[in-house]
Amino acid sequence: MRTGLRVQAWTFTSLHRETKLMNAQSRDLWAGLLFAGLGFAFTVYSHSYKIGTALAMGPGYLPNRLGILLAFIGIAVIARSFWTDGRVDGLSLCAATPVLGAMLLFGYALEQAGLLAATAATVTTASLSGALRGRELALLILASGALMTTIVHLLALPIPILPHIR
Amino acid sequence: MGLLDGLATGFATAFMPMNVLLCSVGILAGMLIGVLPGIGTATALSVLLPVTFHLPPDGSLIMLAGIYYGAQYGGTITSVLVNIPGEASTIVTTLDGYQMARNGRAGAALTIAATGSFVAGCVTTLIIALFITPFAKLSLLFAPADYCSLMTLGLVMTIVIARGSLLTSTGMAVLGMLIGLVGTDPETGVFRFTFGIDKLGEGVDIILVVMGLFGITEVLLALEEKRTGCTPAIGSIWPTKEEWGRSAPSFARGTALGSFLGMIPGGGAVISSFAAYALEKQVSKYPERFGTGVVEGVAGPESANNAGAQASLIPLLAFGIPGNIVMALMAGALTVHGIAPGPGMWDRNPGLFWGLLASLWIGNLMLVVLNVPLVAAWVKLLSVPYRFLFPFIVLSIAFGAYSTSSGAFGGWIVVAFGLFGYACAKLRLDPVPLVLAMFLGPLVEENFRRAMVLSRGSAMVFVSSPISASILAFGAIVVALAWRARRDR
Repeated sequence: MRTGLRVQAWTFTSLHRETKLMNAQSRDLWAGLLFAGLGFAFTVYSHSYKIGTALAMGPGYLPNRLGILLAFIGIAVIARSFWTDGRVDGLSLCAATPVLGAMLLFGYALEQAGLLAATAATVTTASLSGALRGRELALLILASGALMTTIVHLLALPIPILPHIR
Repeated sequence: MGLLDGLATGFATAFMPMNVLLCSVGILAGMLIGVLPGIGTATALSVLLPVTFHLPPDGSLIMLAGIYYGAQYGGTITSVLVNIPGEASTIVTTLDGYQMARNGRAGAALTIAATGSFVAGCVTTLIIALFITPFAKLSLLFAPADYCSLMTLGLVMTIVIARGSLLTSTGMAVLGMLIGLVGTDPETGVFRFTFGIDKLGEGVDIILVVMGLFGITEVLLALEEKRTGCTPAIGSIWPTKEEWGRSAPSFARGTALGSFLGMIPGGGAVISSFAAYALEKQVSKYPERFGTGVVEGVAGPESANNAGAQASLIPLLAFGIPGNIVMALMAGALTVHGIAPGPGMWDRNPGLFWGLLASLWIGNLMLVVLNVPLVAAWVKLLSVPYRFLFPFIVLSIAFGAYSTSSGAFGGWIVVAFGLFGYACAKLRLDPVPLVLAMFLGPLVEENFRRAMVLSRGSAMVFVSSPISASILAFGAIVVALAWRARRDR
């Protein structure tokens, strides 16, 4: 009885592995969906511009044709995902968020509060993804602040170092 | 302007003390960014490019050349010392370079690499000077349809070299062309796909895209791996007499191969370095020892990738078609200074053309000079733990993004493409075809439009023109070969 169950379970997984019915973890499936989705979006959106003909191409002509092509490539990749191997691993957005946030922060902080404040804010935010704390963080902020100031000063870039000093 | 006159003018400009200083600063900055693990030539160049926009054109070009060499060499340093290639063209360097490092010959490997790229640089500078005129004359024979086919060939070559399947790489190229079309339509002035954002009217800046796709993506991947610092030993930086002797013929072979392959649009550094490694193995008396730290395995590919990268200036300057991402970025930088690379640049701006050639040569020379005292310092940098490095990498990218014309808005583009690149890495989609296609998108559209007007809307023009037909036939052969090679694998 026990063995029977085990055999059954084994056949099930092996079958599953061979046919991979619409495997949500297939790399090709996701890549195909990405292409098809973007291709479809570009195709639809291109209709808000004049498309025209090959002889008199409107602004929407090439985007329209490329969008259709991309959508078809996407569909082909989705179709292929039924018999290709390769599993997608997940994105770890926890580590990504501080890095991306720091990236966005810099420009706005720079315009409001100058280079030094922006440097400190960016370095502090980005380091939330890692294990940088206390004295190490302060050291890194000081070092990068000094380096950034030197670069801006030497190349005479039109960037405010402190607020109101331009 | 004659060849010698031209070179003389170029060198006179490039050797001015201020320019030599700018070149050295460029090399230092390029190395500093390029040596950070995972940051390749393209990312380092894109981060530092905006800084050069504030200089006068000749100073800017010279600093650019310095940054290029510094960044490229930074990639070689990480390939040799920690087995992390900064980008595709230094992948083969890891095969024997890293093994040399494990044998205690890292310093020698780095000196050989610097010398190899210098030898290649000298020869290729001359080759460009000799070939640019015939190529520019050839480009006059090209009708819009022929240009279209040539650009298609460039894309096909990139797709073939790219990692991953041909189908997904083609998808990336098509997507890249679509992204390249974002912005003002040159014909009608209509804003396309800008979603009401004014800044997108000028199109998506290729520099920001590279920063996101390569720089931010790499940081995100590295954080996932929990990468730590390491302390490699470099040993003596002077190669032995025997190592020099074995390298010399490899320099010559790598240079010849690279400068030939670089002239084909879409050729350039990557193909050249792989082909050179294969060639070195082929002609060697001891092919079985390759991969264990053979000096030829570093000398050949490192000369070839530089020769290939420089020779791809020929298609860029004669036809306006960049062969690789570095050339696409260079073309972007030239455009900022109001110089359109392509047919006629060499006629309209002879001073700048020769200045560019001379500054590339000087950048290369300064690299060899600066290599000796600096290698030890960069090794120290590699031993810094990643938790210190990555906030600094993010800061550099943010600073570079802000320094482009987009200002604070640039951050959004970098973030968007950083996330997209991260997803692409998970899906094994190679971003290189996307970036090149992005640059070529508007050019293809312009030439396709002209071709269609000239042929009264008939697509037959692509096969009835002998130039276009032979280019397309060549492309078809390349695709067929690549498809067969992949199927057999």
